[in-house]
Formats: sequence, C-alpha cells, structure tokens
Amino acid sequence: MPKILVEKLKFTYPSGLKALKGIDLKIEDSESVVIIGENGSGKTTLVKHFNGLLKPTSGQVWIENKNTKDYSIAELSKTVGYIFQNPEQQLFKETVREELTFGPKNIGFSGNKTKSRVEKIAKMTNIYNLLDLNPRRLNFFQKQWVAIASILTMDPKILILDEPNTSQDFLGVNKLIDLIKHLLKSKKTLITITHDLNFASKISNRFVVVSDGKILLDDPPQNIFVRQKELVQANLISPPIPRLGISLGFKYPPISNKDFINMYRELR
Amino acid sequence: MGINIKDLSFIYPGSEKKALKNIDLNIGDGEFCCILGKNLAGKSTLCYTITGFIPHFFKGKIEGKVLIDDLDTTDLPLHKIVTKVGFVLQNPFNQLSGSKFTVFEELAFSLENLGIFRNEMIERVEEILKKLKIYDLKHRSPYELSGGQQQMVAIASILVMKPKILVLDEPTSQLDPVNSKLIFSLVEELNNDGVTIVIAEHKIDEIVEFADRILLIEDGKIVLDDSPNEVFKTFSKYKKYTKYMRPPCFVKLAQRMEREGLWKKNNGYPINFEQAKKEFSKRPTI
Ligand SMILES: Nc1ncnc2c1ncn2[C@@H]1O[C@H](COP(=O)(O)OP(=O)(O)OP(=O)(O)O)[C@@H](O)[C@H]1O
Ligand SMILES: Nc1ncnc2c1ncn2[C@@H]1O[C@H](COP(=O)(O)OP(=O)(O)O)[C@@H](O)[C@H]1O
Ligand SMILES: [Mg+2]
Ligand SMILES: [Mg+2]
Repeated sequence: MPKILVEKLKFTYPSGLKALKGIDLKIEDSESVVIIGENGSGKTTLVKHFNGLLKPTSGQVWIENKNTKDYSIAELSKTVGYIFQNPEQQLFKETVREELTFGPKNIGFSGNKTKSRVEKIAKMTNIYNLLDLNPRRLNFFQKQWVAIASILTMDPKILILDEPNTSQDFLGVNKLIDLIKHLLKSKKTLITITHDLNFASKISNRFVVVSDGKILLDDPPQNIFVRQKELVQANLISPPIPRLGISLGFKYPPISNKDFINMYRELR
Repeated sequence: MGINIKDLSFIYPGSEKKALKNIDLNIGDGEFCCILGKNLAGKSTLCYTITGFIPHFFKGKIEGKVLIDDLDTTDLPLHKIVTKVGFVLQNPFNQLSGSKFTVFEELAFSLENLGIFRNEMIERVEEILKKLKIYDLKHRSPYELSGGQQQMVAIASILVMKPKILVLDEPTSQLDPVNSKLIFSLVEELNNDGVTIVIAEHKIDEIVEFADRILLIEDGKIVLDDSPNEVFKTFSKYKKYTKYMRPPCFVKLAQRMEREGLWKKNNGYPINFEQAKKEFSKRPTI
C-alpha cells in the first residue's frame, strides 16, 4: 500500500484559477521525495491536498488507503504534518512552548508524553532557548524552526516541508539536512518543496518536477539535470557543479563534489 | 547617491544587546555591495538603518549617524527617504499595502505616493510587469498568489519607483532559479545605469558574479570589507571567516581537487563558472 496515492487530481481555486490540471503520483513508505518547479506551478497547492487543507475539485487523494474527502484536517493531522511555506501563517500562540504543545495535546497525547516530546523536539530543532518567547518576536528563520517543531511534536508518519530552507544560513541548511536524514532513519515519509537543487540532491534521489499544474518529470536528479528542454519549460537551471561536469564532457552530471572527482579521474 | 555611516550602534527596544556595534561604512554612488553573514548577524538591522526604518519605524537606542546623500536620516521623514531609497523587505508579505485588489493597483499605489501622473504611472507599471515577466498577474489579487509570485510583485513595487539607492533584504529567497537569475540581472542592469545597490544575501554563488564589494557582518560588526575576488582567490584571506560564511561552490571543489592531487593552484581558486571551466579543462586529455 503506497503511503500517498494521487489519482487524476484537478484543483480549481474559488477565483476560477485552475491550479492543478491532472496529477497522478504515488509515494511509498519511508521515501524522500523532492518537489521542484516554477513559481506558481502548483507545488504548494498539490501538497496542501495531502493533509486535507484542500480537497480535490476532481480526482482522488489517498493517505494510507484513506480517501482525504472522507476525513477532516484534524484527523489527517495525526498522520500527515504540513509545514507552511510562510511560517507566520502557522504560528498563533503567545509562546513557543504553547505552539509546540498545541498539536500533541489536540490529537490526544497524555500530558507527560506531550511534555517529553516538546523537550526532545525543541532540542532537536535548536529552539530550546526560545521556548518562553513570543513567536511573533522571532527572526524569520527562527519562526521556520518553530513551525517545523510544532509539527514534529505530533510525531506524524508523513512530513511535508514547504521551502524550509528559504532564510536559513549555510549552518541552518546543514542542520536541516541532518534533521531530514534523522527522520528518514526513523522511517518517516518526507516530501520537501524547494528551489535549491543542491539542497534537494542532498536529501532525495527522487525529483518530481511540477509545471503548469502537471507533473513534467519524476526521476533521479542525474536524469533531470540533462533534460534541457524540460528544465527550460519548468524555469529550472541545473546547479553549477553538474553543469560544469557536463561542459567538461562527463557522461552524467555529477551530483556531489565526490561524484565530480570520480568522473574527473575516469576522464584521464 | 552615497551612504555614510559614522560610528553607528543600535539597540532594539526592550533588548539589552547591541544589534549593531560601532559601524563605520561609506558606500559610494553606484557601488554594488553585498552584506553577508550568518542568521542574527545584523544584516537586516543594517538594511533598516540605511533605509530610515531605524530610527523612524524601530525606535530603539541609537548612537552615531547615517547620512543619505549628505542628509541625516534622523532629520528626514520616512516619506522623503522613500523617494531616494527603495527597500525590498525580507518577507514579501509585509511589503504589500493590504488595501489593493489587483497587482496593477498595488504597483500603481507605489507611484501615487510619489505624485506621478496617471499616464506615466500606467506606462511605468506596464513596463515593470513586462520586465519581471509577471504581466499575466496584472489583474490578479496580490493575496491569491504563490509565495514566489508574491515576492516578484513585492520587488516590482519597489523597482517601479526607480530609486537611486536600492536596498534588498534576501530578495530571491522564494524564487525559482530562472526568476532568481532574472532579478540579479535586473539589479545589475540598474547598477550599470548608476543605481547604488546594497543586498543582503545567503546565495554566495550568485553574489560573486555580481557584487563589487562584500561586507561580512558578525555579531553586529563589519569584520570584512573587500571584493569577492580578493576574499576568495586565496584561501589565506578567507580562512579566518569560514565560520561565518561558506565559500563559493567552485572554491570548495577546487580545494578538494587540490587535496586529491588532481589540480594545482596558479592564479588562485576559480570563483565562477567560466573560471572553473577554464581551470579544470587545462589537462591535456580533455
Ligand atoms: N488562494 C489562492 N487563490 C487563487 N489562486 C491561487 C491561490 N493561491 C495560489 N494560487 C494560484 O495557484 C497557482 C499555483 O500556486 P501555488 O502556490 O501552488 O504555486 P507554487 O508552485 O507553490 O509556487 P511557489 O514556488 O511560488 O511557492 C498559481 O497560479 C497561483 O497564483
Ligand atoms: N524587531 C526586533 N526586535 C528586537 N531585536 C531584534 C529585532 N530584529 C532583530 N533583532 C536582533 O538584532 C540582531 C540582528 O538581527 P538581524 O538584523 O535580523 O540579523 P540578520 O538579518 O543578519 O539575520 C539579533 O540579535 C536579533 O535578535
Ligand atoms: Mg509554494
Ligand atoms: Mg535578516
């Protein structure tokens, strides 16, 4: 049974704008999938269907064999955690601690279990020293961590990160990569949206390219970075190191520096 | 139009810590400066001082002086500063007026405040929509857009005013690679026409292509002020700052190639694509 199954999904906003134009997608248990593509192509609209924030105009979305149209957001939240692209839309409590406590309490975790999860997750996301502060007073990148933490405390099996790296410095991005690897080790299913293809290749080997409300490509990055026509169509540019490799005559685009060096050796 | 900052320190209201510490900085007319530094280093705070948000919006405790075009920002009201200095905020959502129903009206509103006549206003809004390739958003609500589309509109709402000094705080954080490149190129084009640019960024690979000058901030102080070439060509210059910023990707690659005996440094490390391609094609077998 796939963790997420999307069949012929179409979605039209109340304004009449057709954002999704027929999406089919299958995501298995413990997979890490990255969703990339042009601004406005429908990435956020797509993933908001996974926890029931949006319901299909037509087509079906199944989460662990449950059709999302038969379940409320609250029920789906036990299984699927969505972290908003703009953390400010997600945070509404007076302290960071309340923000982290809200979810687990709501889905019926005991007081003790909630408390220990809040402690553990706050440490894991580097916000332990912010617990008593008002989230509105924090810097944007700190709000991003609080938004992540407030979902992780519920321990959902499926996690959706919508551009989690946008205002992180290089150390923050490395912490995110570590966190994602840790979550994958504990058998979570992860879906990450990002525009940073370098970050993307560090956390996943499956890139889903969305273009104009449809899935254009669904492949490992090595295959994506050579599809010049599709890259242009999806407003993407392959990252510098893969591009350099190709321009030097490598057979495949090198994904990491290690790849680059191995292929460089082979060339001589 | 230049910027002169003299011995500037700033403490946010309700805080005890100095967010900026004794900053002395002169940015000349037509320079292209990039502010780098870790989260919380003080990049946005420095942007606020250059744009008059400090002291007019954030009250706090301020010492020292900021002069724009030789005028003290303390004496200039914010609506006067806005006519000279355009400021693209870190969070595009906060840039929107909150009172307009279409993207067109949102951009026109920027110009109404400058007292520009209707015909010129329409022409300028149309021009910027085309330049940023967001013409199809013209009649859409600014609040029913994707995050990246909203960021493009926020940038457009400032560019349409044609400021002589442009300050941008992580302006491309939510943009796809092509839109991000488009914004960097447009900013460079403006700079070629004489606009002074100050941009806070994490995207070091893009910055080395465009900026003339890197200002590295750490804990409220400017710890490095030099050209990208100078900073990254030799590792000795950069070595002291590895904790505060990462090197361009080609420098990192070249260092690894060097360690593995695959490449030798002659003219310093390559910092952009062209240099890297040239350096690494040198071997006779390619
Ligand atoms: N609330 C809304 N009402 C109407 N249209 C919307 C709304 N939100 C988004 N859209 C439109 O739906 C389409 C898809 O938007 P979506 O937010 O899913 O894009 P995205 O791929 O996440 O883009 P980005 O990379 O910029 O975040 C776009 O054309 C956008 O303008
Ligand atoms: N509105 C604010 N109120 C209080 N302190 C702030 C505010 N904004 C920033 N600070 C503090 O000022 C320092 C510099 O922050 P900032 O300029 O936002 O850094 P950067 O943009 O480099 O991430 C930090 O210690 C931060 O906590
Ligand atoms: Mg989005
Ligand atoms: Mg900032």
